[in-house]
Amino acid sequence: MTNERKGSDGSNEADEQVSRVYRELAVERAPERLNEAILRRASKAARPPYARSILWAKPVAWAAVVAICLAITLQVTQMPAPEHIPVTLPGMSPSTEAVEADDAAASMPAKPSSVEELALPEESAVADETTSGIAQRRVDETVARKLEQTQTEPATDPLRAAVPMVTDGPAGHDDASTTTTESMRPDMAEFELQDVGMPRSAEDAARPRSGAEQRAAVSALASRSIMAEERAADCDEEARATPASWYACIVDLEAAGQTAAAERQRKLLAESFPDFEMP
Amino acid sequence: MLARAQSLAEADRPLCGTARVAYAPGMEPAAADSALMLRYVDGDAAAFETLYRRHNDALYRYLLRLCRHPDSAEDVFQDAWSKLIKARASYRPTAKFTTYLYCVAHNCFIDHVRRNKRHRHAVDIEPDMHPDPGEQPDAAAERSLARRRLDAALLELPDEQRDVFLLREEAGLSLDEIATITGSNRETAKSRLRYAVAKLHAAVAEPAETS
Repeated sequence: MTNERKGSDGSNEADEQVSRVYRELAVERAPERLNEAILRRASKAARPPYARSILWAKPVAWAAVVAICLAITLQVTQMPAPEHIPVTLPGMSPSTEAVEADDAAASMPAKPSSVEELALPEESAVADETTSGIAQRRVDETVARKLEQTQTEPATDPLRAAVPMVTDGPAGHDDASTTTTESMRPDMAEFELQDVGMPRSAEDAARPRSGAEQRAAVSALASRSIMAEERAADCDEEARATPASWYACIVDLEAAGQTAAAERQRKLLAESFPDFEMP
Repeated sequence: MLARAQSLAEADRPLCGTARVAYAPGMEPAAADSALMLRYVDGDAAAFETLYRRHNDALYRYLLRLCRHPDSAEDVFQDAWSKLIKARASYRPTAKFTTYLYCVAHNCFIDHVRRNKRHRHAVDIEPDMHPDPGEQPDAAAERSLARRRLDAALLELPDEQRDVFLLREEAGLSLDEIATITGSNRETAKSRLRYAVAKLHAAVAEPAETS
């Protein structure tokens, strides 16, 4: 019981007697279970917040952070280094080449319903003003032919299927070195993929492409190759009209000492007219 | 710690509602209570236990006789200490700790009364009587009778008068402090105390035949 008493406030004999009797009466004590509960609550509240938190949470959080950092580092270090091999075409800088190829792919119609609709838009085909008409026609023919070929021979990867149709010569070569071939080696296919700025990562390569995207990519590649072919042609359109005139042109080239060009024209002739028997 | 206590004391912030009682000279135990409370605010749980053990029984008796029901008294008792623990960060030693504690308990009791009317159904509180072995049987019987009369008279008192009497007997508070806690002025508290003491004295001093 509290012993602080203020006897000065109205204290008298009766007051003292009542107080004495009350002290004898009031001997109750707070229940021990209440004491324990309140003291437990008080000691819990007195602990700092971090001590109240789960003890294993902090090390586990640190371990998780370290593991995530390691995983990101490993993934970054295992990524293949980007290889930039610029391809220079006549009248086209390496940077604009990729941009134009992308633009051509992006500007293609979403889902052409027929082969005729696969014709490239004008802006995508116009890379060289002088050969635009002929190139456009040849692009249409080539795209239609290759699409038919790819439909009969389903390819696992549309990009891979599209690549062998078209190829350019190695980067840095002159115009004459640019050619088109149906059968291309796998390493050349890889080279072509890198040249045109195709996705390099395995994730992008594995990503399924829609039909419109496939056709857009095929058309872009075909247009580029045809334009390059036109530029590189040593025998003009008139000479290549028939196998005989084409062969005559090849003979003229050989006679003029342009054996490399003659050899390329010979291959083109063999591909364009497989039935033609060259002497 | 001391510097903090002094700075807090200078803040002159009320402890509990209208409590504005300042330190008075010669209040060493109260100052110790405040120091213990400040140590508890700083995280010293042992200081709180000391403080609790010093006041828990008196506060329990105060609430037991104020509520007139043990269950209600326990509820209010827990509520009062819980509020004190929860509001420890805002504790300012501008008055005696006892004033603060009983002010919180008084407010908890009022809240409890407002929440329910259970306190009106009073039950007899049987005090644990342990007669002195060396005391004469007649004297022991007379004392026991006086206690019972006082207990009955205490239960018969109006709430305000019983509150004032209990605050003085259990907490040892002055009239000013009682007036602060009960929200009245000093003269009102003094008048209530005088009436309460007179009634209790009359009950205790009654002849044995009339009881």
